[in-house]
Formats: sequence, structure tokens, C-alpha cells
Amino acid sequence: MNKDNTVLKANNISAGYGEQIIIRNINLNLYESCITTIIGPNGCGKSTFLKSISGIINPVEGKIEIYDNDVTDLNTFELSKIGLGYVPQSENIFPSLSVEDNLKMGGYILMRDQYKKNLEKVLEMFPDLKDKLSGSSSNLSGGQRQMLALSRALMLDPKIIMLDEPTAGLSPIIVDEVLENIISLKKSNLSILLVEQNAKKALTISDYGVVFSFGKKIMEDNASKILSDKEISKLYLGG
Amino acid sequence: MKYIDLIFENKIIFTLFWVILILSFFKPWLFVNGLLIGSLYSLGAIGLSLIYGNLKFANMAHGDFMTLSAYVALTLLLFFFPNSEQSTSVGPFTFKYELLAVIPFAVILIGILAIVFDKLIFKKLRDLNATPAAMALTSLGVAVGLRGLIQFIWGTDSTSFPRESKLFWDLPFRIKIPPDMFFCSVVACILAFVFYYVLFRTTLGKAIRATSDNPDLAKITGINTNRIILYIWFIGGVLAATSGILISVQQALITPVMGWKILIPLFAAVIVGGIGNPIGALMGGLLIGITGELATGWINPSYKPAVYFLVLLIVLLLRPNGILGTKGRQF
Repeated sequence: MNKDNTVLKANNISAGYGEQIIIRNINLNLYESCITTIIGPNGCGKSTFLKSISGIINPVEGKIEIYDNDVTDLNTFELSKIGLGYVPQSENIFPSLSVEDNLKMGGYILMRDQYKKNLEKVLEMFPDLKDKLSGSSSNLSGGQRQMLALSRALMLDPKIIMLDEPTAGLSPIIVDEVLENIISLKKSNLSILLVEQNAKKALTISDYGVVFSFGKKIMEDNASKILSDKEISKLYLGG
Repeated sequence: MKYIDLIFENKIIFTLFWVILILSFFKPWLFVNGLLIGSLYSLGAIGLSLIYGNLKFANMAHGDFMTLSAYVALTLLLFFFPNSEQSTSVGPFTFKYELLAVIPFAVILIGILAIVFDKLIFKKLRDLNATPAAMALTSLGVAVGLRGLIQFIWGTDSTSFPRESKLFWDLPFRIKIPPDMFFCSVVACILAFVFYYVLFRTTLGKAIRATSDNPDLAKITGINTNRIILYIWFIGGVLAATSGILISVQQALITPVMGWKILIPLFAAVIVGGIGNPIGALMGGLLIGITGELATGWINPSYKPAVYFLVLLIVLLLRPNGILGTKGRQF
């Protein structure tokens, strides 16, 4: 892990919904070609943090920098243009569109040639989608939906990708497949911020781990160290 | 095929289908009239449905945009062609060539006006996270305001586009079609087809459907949803304007309350078809048009709105989300 190459810096982020503040004063750095996993109990603000980074909700306090540029006030669609990809936990595909149209929407801002190039690249990475391109995305299985959501996010060739519980509701075999995909994304130089309930498995493939509790960051360290921490293991990793 | 299957999958919709068919057998001219009027309703209903599908509120000002478009077209016509009263009409139709020249300008003007209203009012409400009920009530305020403005500028009397009387077309089975009605229906069908093509075959249309499905996800994928919303208002405005002008040509009448009155069948068409589904709105418009006209063969025409609501009631009891509506999903 190269801590010199910070791609994303979240400084002192507080955010929530309306009057209700969910996360408070979170500092988090994301490093180049690294997988960082945020773990923590339900409702501790993991997803809220990702939403505040992606611009879906505006932080009430704090600063977000991507490659040392202040992006705190940028819109969600502007953030996607500068290389921030995000796959939400649920409702992460467009159900009324076909698989191909979902990918087309993923590359909405691309010129035709670039779109074709990126589509080929994405389909090479997820060949299972090739046969289903003309089919309705609403007919896909849970695992296939995750693949489509991930592919859609990759269409813009992001430098950073945030994945919110990509294995939620999937069978153990498909979970392993999705995690394999995440490892292969890392190998293609992507920086990944992962939020996972399946904490043990996620930390196993991660370089870095962050623990959230009650809207605050309580710990951050190398993933292997978090895995071996007995107290964390007892509280958040199921013993 | 799935739309035809839908008719046969439900016993009561199937019965309704047969009732319409049998009644049409006795008075086919009413069926044809209903079909032609229904196509005009469909056009208005598609615009209404498009806005509902994406912005999630019932735009009560839609009807008054229709009225405004007729007055704007009339004003442009009289301003640019003051002698249009004396000019010849188009073939078998009652309207003049000059009207065809001003319609595109009037329609685009209303489309732009719809965008202006969004920027001035609805965008601000969206930014404040206003509820759909608050948005709908605001649109009711816009509707009343627009109607007042129309009455202030053009007066409360009815008027019409310059016209020349023409004979109806006599067809077999006592079917008599006013040529204007045929023209308006053809234009409405072409526009509905163009709209369908834009929505389902173009990247812009797919972005509109994506925004309707999930606005946050659309933003994440790089779609500028604010711009998409402006396109939606423009398209909605254009469809309302075209529908308004065609209805005033077909009825040979422009009144300040025409749009408000037509809002009842339009909403009935949108709800019957499935809120937010433009294809449903098309089907709903035709169903409302046909049943309303057929009913006049047996009951007083002033009860037409009651027939619309009866159809609405029957369809909603069987399919609470409308004919093509799916819970929580538009387009």
C-alpha cells in the first residue's frame, strides 16, 4: 500500500438527512490502487458517508478533495465526470431499461467511439452480460444485477469507485465471485472504497480498514491488523 | 402483443372490451368519433403523464397551458397574417394555411414558457424538497393564475381561428367525419409516434426513462438530471400546446376555460392508463374518448364526465395501478 498517493481525502465530514446529522467529523483517505473497507454495525452511517462523498447528499461540514482538487461543492454528475464511480446498495440499475441501455446510460456523457471502446472493455470483464444485452435488466438475478451495476459504473472509466454492500442478499458462491471482481478492479489500478456487512471477507481482500460506530470513525488501520484485533473481531466481525 | 394479452387476462376488462365492441356495432359512427377525439386526449394525457412520471406530481396547469397555446397561436396568426380571414382554407379543412405556419412557433413558445415556469417556481420547490401534494397545489395556483391572465389579456368571450365552413366526409355505416377532426387525429397520432420513438429509441429518451426510474442513480451515471427535467418540461409543454391548438381547431372554439374543462378526461386517461406511463396514457386517452362518445348514443352528452369516472372506477377496482401501471415504476 502506497500511502503517498492519496486519491481522495475526506476531511471532517458531517452529513445527514434534513435536520438529522448521521455522521460527524469523519476523516478518511483513499489511496491509489488500494481497497479500503468501511465496516460497522447497521445504521452507523457507512452508506451516508458514501452518499456524502458522491454528492447525493451535501455534507453540512467538511471538505472533499479528489487528486488535491476541492470537489465539495460539485454535483453528483460532475463528480462522475472527473472519475468518481459509485454503486449504491439497492436500486442500482434502471429496471425499465434493457441491460445494454443500462450500460449506455453508464456511458451517457461519452462520445460514440469512446463508448464502444469502454463497452467492449466492460463486457470483457463481465462476459456473462454479453448474452443478456438485449434483455430487460429487471429479469436479471441478484448476482447479475450487481455485475450490471458494477459494469455501468465502470463505463466512465473511473479512477475511484465506491461500492455500497455489493454482496448484500447474494448466495455465498456469488459473493465470492463479486469479491473476485473487486480484486480484479484493484489490479486494473482502481482505488476502491467498499462498504460491507460481510466484513470478514471484505477485509480479507482489502488493504485498509476503517471502523464506524454511531456515526463516528473509531478506528482505521491495515486490514490485516483489524482482522487480528480481538476486540474489533468480537464486536464487528462475529467473533 | 403484451397490450392485447392484457385485455384478455382480466375478465372485467375483457367484458368492458366486449361492451365497447357491441355498442360500437350498433352505432359505429360514435366509435369512430370517440377514436378521433380520444387521440387528441391521448396527446394531452401523454404530456401530463410524462411530467408525472418524472417529477412525481400532477400538473394541474397542463390544461391551462393548452388554452394559452390556442390564444398564442391565434394572436400570432392575427399579428403576422391580419388578412387571414379572407384567405383560402387548406383543402377539405376549415382552417387556413396561415394557421399551419404559426403553429410551430406557438408550440415552441409554450415549450419555452413551460421551462420558464419550472425555473421560476417548480425548481425552487424541488430544491426545498417540497412534497408532491405541495407541488400539485402550486400547479393549481399556476393554473388559476394563467387562466386569470388569459382572461385579462384576451377577455372572457369565446373566439375561434379564422375558418371556412366545409362539408363532413360521408362514409358507410352512417359515419360522418369532420375533416378537421381527421386532420387533428392524424397529427396527434404522428406526434404520439414521434414521442414514442424519442422515448424508447433515442439516448435522450432513455435518459428521461432512467431519470424517471431513479433520479439519484441517473446523476451518479453522469446524467445532468436538471437538464433532463428542462427537456421534460419542454416536451410536456409542446405536447400540451399541440393538443390545445388541435382541440380548438377541431371544436372551432377557443375559450379561457377550455383547458380546465379538458383536464378531467385527461386525468382520467392518465390514471386509467397507469400514472406515469405514456403508452398507458395513449391507451387511456383512446378508451376515455371512445367510451365517452359511445355513451352519448344512449344518455345525455352532459353526463360524459360521469362516464369517464365510471370507466376510471372500473379500471382502478381491477387494476389499482391502471392498465399499464406497475407499482412504483414509471415508463
